[in-house]
Amino acid sequence: MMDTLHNPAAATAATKDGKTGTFTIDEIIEHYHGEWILMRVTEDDEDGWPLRGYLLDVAPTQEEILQAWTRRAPEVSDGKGWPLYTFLAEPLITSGPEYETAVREFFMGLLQAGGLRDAEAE
Amino acid sequence: MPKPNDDISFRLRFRMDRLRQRTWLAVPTSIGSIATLDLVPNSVATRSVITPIAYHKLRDLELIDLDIHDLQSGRVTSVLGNVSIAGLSAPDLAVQIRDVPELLGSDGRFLVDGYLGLDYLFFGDFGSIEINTRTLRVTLRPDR
Repeated sequence: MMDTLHNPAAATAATKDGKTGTFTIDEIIEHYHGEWILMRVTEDDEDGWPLRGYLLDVAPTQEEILQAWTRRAPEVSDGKGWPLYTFLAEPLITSGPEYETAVREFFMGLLQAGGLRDAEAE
Repeated sequence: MPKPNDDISFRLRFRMDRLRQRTWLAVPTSIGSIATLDLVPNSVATRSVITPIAYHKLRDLELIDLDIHDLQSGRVTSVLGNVSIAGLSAPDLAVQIRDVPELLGSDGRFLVDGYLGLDYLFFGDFGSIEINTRTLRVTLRPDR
């Protein structure tokens, strides 16, 4: 299974003939750190985020991965209900100063929005 | 099978561009069960927006049913149907299509696909939003 993870072309070919397994997002991030990824998601985690799927393509730029998206788009009409997903393979961040700042800004915005809603209700 | 008026619960996930100049929290959103988008809950925007890149992705999958062109502003609005958030059925989503400089990473790429505005999250079908400030788990509760 890991052979195809090291070789996107092999992964693509194997996906087509159904001989490969799926990979977790964490596995893909570990092997393709900094690259753009195109995958078909076969499983979400308990929080609703893509967890596992078929690795369809890997590219150094967003533009190239979007071209791959266009090429592979017809495949999703197979009725399996596995969505296409693109992302930049970077490790997930769940703590640290940037994280804290983003959370703080989000909640400050929500407070503002709450004020807007109250004003609209009056 | 979840019903359209079930609570929708998910965790916000952090997105950051490589040079760490921009950060966003994102919502796992699916359109038509065949495209997954990362959309930012934008608590200061009145309307929802997707980037032209996200629009092209949806168009490739034939998920754009109707475009509304505003001749005065030149802007295009689309209504996205069959929306799911965290795998649960959610209301249709009206989005403007435009570049969003606030969502650009430092090298000009969009690391997220757009944002959900107040029209959807706050003034639309969801009468209640509950957020766990420790886990960032969000529960959207539709009006019943």
